Order: sequence, then C-alpha cells, then structure tokens
Amino acid sequence: MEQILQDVDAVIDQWGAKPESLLQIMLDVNHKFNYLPKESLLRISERLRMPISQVYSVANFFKVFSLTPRGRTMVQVCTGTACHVKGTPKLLDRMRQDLGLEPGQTTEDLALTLETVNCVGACASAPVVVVSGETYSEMTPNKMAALIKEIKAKSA
Amino acid sequence: MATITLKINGQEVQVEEGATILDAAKKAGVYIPTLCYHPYLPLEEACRICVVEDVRRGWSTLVAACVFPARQGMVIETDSEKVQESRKTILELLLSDHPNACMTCQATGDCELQDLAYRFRVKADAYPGERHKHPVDSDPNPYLHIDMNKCVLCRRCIRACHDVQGADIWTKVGRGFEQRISTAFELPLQEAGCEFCGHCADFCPVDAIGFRSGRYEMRAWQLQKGTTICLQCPMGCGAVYDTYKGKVVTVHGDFKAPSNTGALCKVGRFNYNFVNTPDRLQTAYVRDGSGDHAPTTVDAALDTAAAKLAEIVEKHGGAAVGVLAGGMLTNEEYYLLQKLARGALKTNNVDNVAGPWQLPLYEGLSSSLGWGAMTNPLDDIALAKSLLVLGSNTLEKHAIAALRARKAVRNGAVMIVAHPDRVALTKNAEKHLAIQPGSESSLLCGFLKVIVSEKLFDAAFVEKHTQEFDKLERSLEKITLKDVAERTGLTEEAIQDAARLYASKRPSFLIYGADMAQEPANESLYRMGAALQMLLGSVGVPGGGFAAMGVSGNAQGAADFGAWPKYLPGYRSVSQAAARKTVSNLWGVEVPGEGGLSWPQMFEAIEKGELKALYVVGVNPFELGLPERAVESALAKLQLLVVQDCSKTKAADYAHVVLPGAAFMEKDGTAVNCERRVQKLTAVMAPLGDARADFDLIQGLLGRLKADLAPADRAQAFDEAVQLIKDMGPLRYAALGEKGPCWPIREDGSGTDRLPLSEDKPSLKFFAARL
Ligand code: SF4
Ligand code: SF4
Ligand code: SF4
Ligand code: FES
Ligand code: FES
Repeated sequence: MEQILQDVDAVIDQWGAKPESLLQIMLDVNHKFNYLPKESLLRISERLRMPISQVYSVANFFKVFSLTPRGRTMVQVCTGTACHVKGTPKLLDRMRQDLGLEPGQTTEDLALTLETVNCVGACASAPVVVVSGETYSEMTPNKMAALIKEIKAKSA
Repeated sequence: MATITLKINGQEVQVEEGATILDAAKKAGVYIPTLCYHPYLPLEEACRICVVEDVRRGWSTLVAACVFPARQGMVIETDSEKVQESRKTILELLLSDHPNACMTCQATGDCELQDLAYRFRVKADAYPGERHKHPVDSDPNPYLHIDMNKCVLCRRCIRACHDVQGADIWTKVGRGFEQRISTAFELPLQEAGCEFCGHCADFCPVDAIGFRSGRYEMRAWQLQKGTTICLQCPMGCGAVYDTYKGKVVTVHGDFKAPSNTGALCKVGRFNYNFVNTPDRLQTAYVRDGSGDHAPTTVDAALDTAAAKLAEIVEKHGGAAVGVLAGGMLTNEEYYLLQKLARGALKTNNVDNVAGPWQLPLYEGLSSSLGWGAMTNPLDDIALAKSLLVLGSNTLEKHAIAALRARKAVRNGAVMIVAHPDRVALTKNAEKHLAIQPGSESSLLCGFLKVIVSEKLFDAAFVEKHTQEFDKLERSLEKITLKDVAERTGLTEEAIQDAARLYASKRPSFLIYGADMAQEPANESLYRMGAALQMLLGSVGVPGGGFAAMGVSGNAQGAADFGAWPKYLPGYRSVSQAAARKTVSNLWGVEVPGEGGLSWPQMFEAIEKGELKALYVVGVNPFELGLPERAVESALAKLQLLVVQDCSKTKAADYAHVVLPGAAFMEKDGTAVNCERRVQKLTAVMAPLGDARADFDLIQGLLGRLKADLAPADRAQAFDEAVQLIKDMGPLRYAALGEKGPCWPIREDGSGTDRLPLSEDKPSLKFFAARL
C-alpha cells in the first residue's frame, strides 16, 4: 500500500499535479501495476484536487484502464460462434477446474488474466486462444493446460 | 449587448446576443420540449429531445435548441415533420429501455418523461430490445430511493450534485448501452460521501432518484404545495412544502428565493419530524388541584396563565418573571413577546435562544463597521477570490454560505478552512487548519499580526476608509506569533503561510458561523474579523465581506425586534433613558429601566429563587445544552411555568399551563435572515386541532394583561415595530413581496445589499487586537 502510493506520487510529480495531466498519469499508473488500484485513484483525486467521481468515470470510460488487477500476460479465449461450437466451453471448464479461474479473473500470482474475446478472424483453426498477440490453433483442454503451465513458469 | 432577430415558425423574435434558441422560443411563446435541460443547471446537450430545424437556403439541420445559440437571421421550425420524427424516435428509444411502470411509480403525475410520452403519443414498444435490469431501491440510505432502471441519462443529477451542492457524488460510467449513473467505485451513497442535500432527487425528471418519504402513501396530485421561508437556520431559504393531511411529505428549494436560489440543506430538506410527530400538541392543558394535566380550551388556559402571571408580578415585581423564546419565531412574535415582557410584565427579562451568540456579533460589528450584521448578501461569497472559513461546521449549520464558498472555489478561489475536525468543506479547501476548539479568535489575531507586520494590507483602502489603524498596530506589537501558535495548536509557519495565502488574492471573504455547541464568542472576535477584512479592502465590495452568522433561523429578527434583555427594538439600549422614552411614548406605558437577564442568567436566577415565573415559547429548555439535572431542578422550583410549543416536550411535564403552538411553516409573518433580508412567511398548512400560531397566543396573553398594548394583527405589529427600527422604517407588512429587501431600507422601500463605504470620510474603525 505504502509502496503503491509512493509509486503513484512519483508518477504525479513527473507530470505535475494538475487536472490536465490526468490521462497521462492514469496511463502510467495503469502501466506500472497493469491496473488502477483503488488507492491510486484516491491519491490522484486528492493530489489533482479533482472529485473522485470524475477520476473514476475516466477510469471506467477507456478500455485501456482496468479497475481490477490484471496478470502480466493476457490469455484471450475466443468465444466466437465457430470456436464455441468447436469446444471453447471445454477450454474454459478446464481453467475453472485447474485454477478456479473465471473469464475476467486473474491468478493470484498475477501471472495471467483470463479473458474471452469475440471472433478473432481465425475461425479455420477454431478453437483458438491468443496470448500476447500470438494465436494458438485447434486448442484442446490438455494443450490449454500445458500452455498455462508454461506461462506461469515463465512469469515466476 | 447586441440584439438579434430571428424567425421561429414564421414569427419574428428579438433576443440579446448569447441567448439560446430555446430562450428565444420561450420569449415568442413557442413550446419546445426539453428533458435534460433545466433552467437552474448548466447546459448540457444530453437528450436532444429539444431538436428544432435550422433552415438555411436549400438545406437544413437539426440542432438542440437548449444549447444552440440564436443567431441573426436564423429561420427556425419547431414543429416540422423532420423535427417531429426525430423527437418521437428519441422518446421511443427512451421508452424501449424503461420499465414503463407508471401505474405503480411514485413519479406518476409529476414525471417529465410521462408528460412527454403523453403529449407526443409515443408507443412504449416501438423498439423491442434489451432492457436494463438494475436492482430496484438499490441504495440503503434513509432519504433517497434509487431505481436506475428508470434513469433517462439526462445527467441532471450529476450537474446538480456538482453545480448546486458541489459534492460531486454522481458520475456517469460505461459506454453505449452500458452507460449508467453511478457513484465512484459503485459505493453506497453514504460511503461515497453523499451529503444528503437531496438536490439530485429534486432535479431528477423521473423517479430514478426520488424521495423515500410519502412513497406508496399518496400520489403527486394529492399533495398540497405551499411556499414559505425555512427557519431552521439563519440562511432563511425559500422552501416549497408538499403537504398531505396536515403532514409535511417533501420539501423543495424555491428557485425564486434570493438567498438559496433553489438549494436546501439536509436539515431544511429532511428534518420535519417535529411537525409530523404524533406528539403534536392539539389542545391546551392546565394543571389541576391534584397536580395532573387536564385538557382545556385555549382561551381558558390563556385566562389562567394571564391571571397567574399578573399575580406574581403584583407580589414580587417584574424581576421575578422571565420570558424565553426559541429560534424559529417570526418578527411579529418576537416583537410582541418583548412588548409583553416590558410593557405588561414590567421586566427586561426577555431573551431568545440565539441571543447570547447574536449579542457579541451585533456589538462587535456595529462598533467596527457601523452596522451589526453581515456586510454582504450570501450570493456575494461566490464572487470571492479567497476565503477563510471558521466556526461552525458550515455545511451543516450554515449550508448556503458553504455552497457559495464551494462555487467560488470552482471559479478559482482559494479556501482555507479552520476547524478542529476535517469537516466536509475541507475537501474543497486548499488548506485545512486543525485549530484547537475555541481558538478562532486567536487565529484571527495571528492573521492580523502577519498581515500587518509583513505589510500585506491594502494601504490605500485603510487610509481612505478606516480610523485608528495605529491602535491595531500598537496592540499587535505586544502579541507574538508564538503565543498565537500556542493557543491555536498550529505552528508559526502554518499561520504565516495561511495568512499570506489568504491575503494573496482579493476580494476575500471571511465566513464565521456561530455554533450553539460552543460558548458564545466575545465581541473582539468580530472586531478582529472586521479588521482583517478592512485590511484587505474586502468589506462591502462585491465578493469581499464578512459573513457573520448567528445560531438560529430568525436570530437576526429576534435582535432587530428587541427580543433580548439589553436592547429594545431597533437596538435602542435599555440603559439609556432617551431610548426607553421613545419606546414608552409609542406604547403609552413605562418601559422598565432595570437591566434584564439573558437566558443562562434566568436559569441561575430560578435556582436562587429570584425568578419565580417563566414563559417559554417554541423552545425546549432541555435542549439548551444545560445539564439535565440543572434544568429539572430549576423547572421544579418555579411557581409558574407556561410552556408554549408545537409538540409535547419534556418541559411540558413540569408546566402549570401548556399552550399548543405552531411550527414555522404553519405561520404567517416575517423573518430576517443573516444577510439582513426581511422575508415573508406564508403558512403552508393550518396548525393542528386547537393549536394556534404563537402570535395569536402571545396576543391573547397581552390582550388579557394589558389590552391596549395588543396590536390587532400581524401587519399592525410589524408596522408598529418598524417605527422603532430605523433601518426598517419605510417597510410595510402589506407591501413586502416575494423577494424581501435587505436592511437598511431606503425611503423608497428598496434595500441595501452591501455595507456602503463613504467617499468623504472614513466610516470603518479598528480596535485593539486581543489574543
Ligand atoms: S419514471 Fe415516469 S415514465 Fe417512468 S415509470 Fe415512473 S412515472 Fe412512468
Ligand atoms: S443528495 Fe446531494 S450530495 Fe448526495 S448525491 Fe444527491 S446531490 Fe449529491
Ligand atoms: S438519475 Fe435521474 S437525473 Fe440522473 S441521469 Fe438518470 S434520470 Fe437524469
Ligand atoms: S470464432 Fe473464434 S476465431 Fe472466429
Ligand atoms: S433538452 Fe436539449 S439536449 Fe436535452
């Protein structure tokens, strides 16, 4: 907590504690923690002398910001029609089983966040999973488990 | 300003530059529907229901009339097919995601969406689609009912919370279909810091944010509306009461009222239980031989009270009788009460609860500034460039001053709040000085010291308008910042920084609200406050002044009309024979010269057995902050206790006679708010049962004790009183309109908003500073 606030203060000092810098500050903080911790928003509101409701509204408006912790790696599972038919639900079931992870949630070690996305345009290789821009084709629950293991290991 | 001519539906209309198309249409008497627009909120194009066709050669566009400026030569059509089409679509889209539950909705009959749908005959199911499913009654707070399913995203709540209250609780989150109104982090209102002023509910055009009270008990059209003045604090807000069967249901700010322009505080908005309580007195009681209270007629009770009062005065003299009034009486009632005390009971023992706090305010300011009250209207606070706020928890006790201060801050002013606690206003302050309780006076002294020794003052203003600056200077030489630091609990640097900050921007406004929970200040606090403002050239100028505010709703009127021991009406000193003579001549009866007791002294005198009879009007002695035991013992000692109140208080148990009075919104009369505005009250409902307005009861007593002293009615009482009050002389009860003037009143009946500064000779005076 103390550390978070110190980091936030450093970012604010860099840009200047003025309302015009709000977006830059939020982008940097979001980058630093991969999400916007509640305390960071409160601190920004206090130091920029802006109502917390306004700061929250901005955080909520832009897709780049996250208000919940996000992992270092984003694992995006396609839930488009083709993928769905070819077995996305099974992939998600396996994640639930292995890690107790629902779409939108992050592992405790902050290694990864599981997300669902709409058709990514690779229907021919359905079901697909996208990790850091790389597409993994014809996924099975086992392949999925292996992939996750690898990500967690790399992140540790 | 340039005038613009445009055509609306073929009709020519002229408006000033800057007017919107909607303004022009209103002027031309042409109706344009609106939804997100509200005349008392900043403009925001959120709903586009107000679109009109802006016709130019060969082509036309749809523009939002509520925000679009009128231009020279414009041709506007408000009812073309294109416009109607667009309006209808917008409404149909709104209804496609609305519960359309008008049958069971509290807003029915008072809902802007319902009215629009009805007027334009839109179908609710033109666009089948997804509907939001938010929880109904989603917030647990006791005042507001939240049902965001009914929200039309007009964002009036956001604007009201920002622009009227300055609390910034509501905001919009999400995009597209997901867009909705929420608090930060979706917190419940209470946790989000909501101040429960109720403005968002007042401005919400539908039942998305509504009041809880009255819900499922009555329909909008069953409510009776009445407008009067709220007397729960010295702001004197114009308030519109919705009543139903003798009870207050909801309260709204009166947009036309000059002091509050539509705003209300939490107390004015929600504190009406004292009227609705089942403990309301509806009949009189007299204690019979066995010591029990027997119900009786008001006239019989008045007979008893008058006879017993006369008996005690006869036996022990006027000094044995005391009269104590609450803080929410009208001017006429205060005037009559002190006339009763002085003219009929031969005593100056008359006071009102706010008296001890108002006295130093009056004496301090009148000696420094020439008049003993606030220097500027409340509205002026919003024009200040720097603000220093001391004393009461301003947002709770003197809310309109706090709202105006927030407005000034939104416009770029710096604000310093000095209060032992982090009161809600500190969130808008540049600096919070956590001073020791009761050290406001020392802090002011510190500010004077810094500003004088560092020569931060406006030398030209001091030279031109003030006297005895050297007296202040000399007194400050003996005071060190170290002493100030000790008293206030701040560091010397903190005091210096704050004083420099306050002096750095002008005009500046000093806000000091007295607080009944604290001992009354002495007059030197007010003198130093005045001195500070004089040094900064900030008295009686737009945005520069001293908002000194008392502790009760009509504290100013009580003082003006003489309901306190030291001064007769019009601040005529009881100790001066000439002053007494003027009053005696008018009344035709000798005014006693013996000094009177303030109410704290009255309780001491009862304890000593010197005061034997007490007449209390509209106040519960158990709520004066005295130890409960002391009050019990005092009341039990009295030979006669007459309690007149609108509900059965604990004091009534001790009373020999109980008279059923009325609440302020059940009264006709006048009151003076802290900005010296003389305002008219109009009863919004009748007192319950046999209860009567205090005026009628006091008049009844006076009539029985000394008939020739009793004026026929309120108008006569007021018009008689102002003969004694120089600053109100030209006022007449019957001529008082909606927007009351601020005293001093000029010959033509108009008021004086700000303390005038004489061009020829200095009219302001410094006094020695005291730590
Ligand atoms: S808010 Fe208005 S339109 Fe909506 S259900 Fe209630 S009365 Fe009907
Ligand atoms: S009640 Fe007042 S403070 Fe609370 S959200 Fe509504 S407008 Fe804002
Ligand atoms: S809650 Fe009411 S005032 Fe606020 S945006 Fe919705 S409809 Fe408008
Ligand atoms: S449905 Fe998954 S890539 Fe198209
Ligand atoms: S009323 Fe004009 S945009 Fe809503």
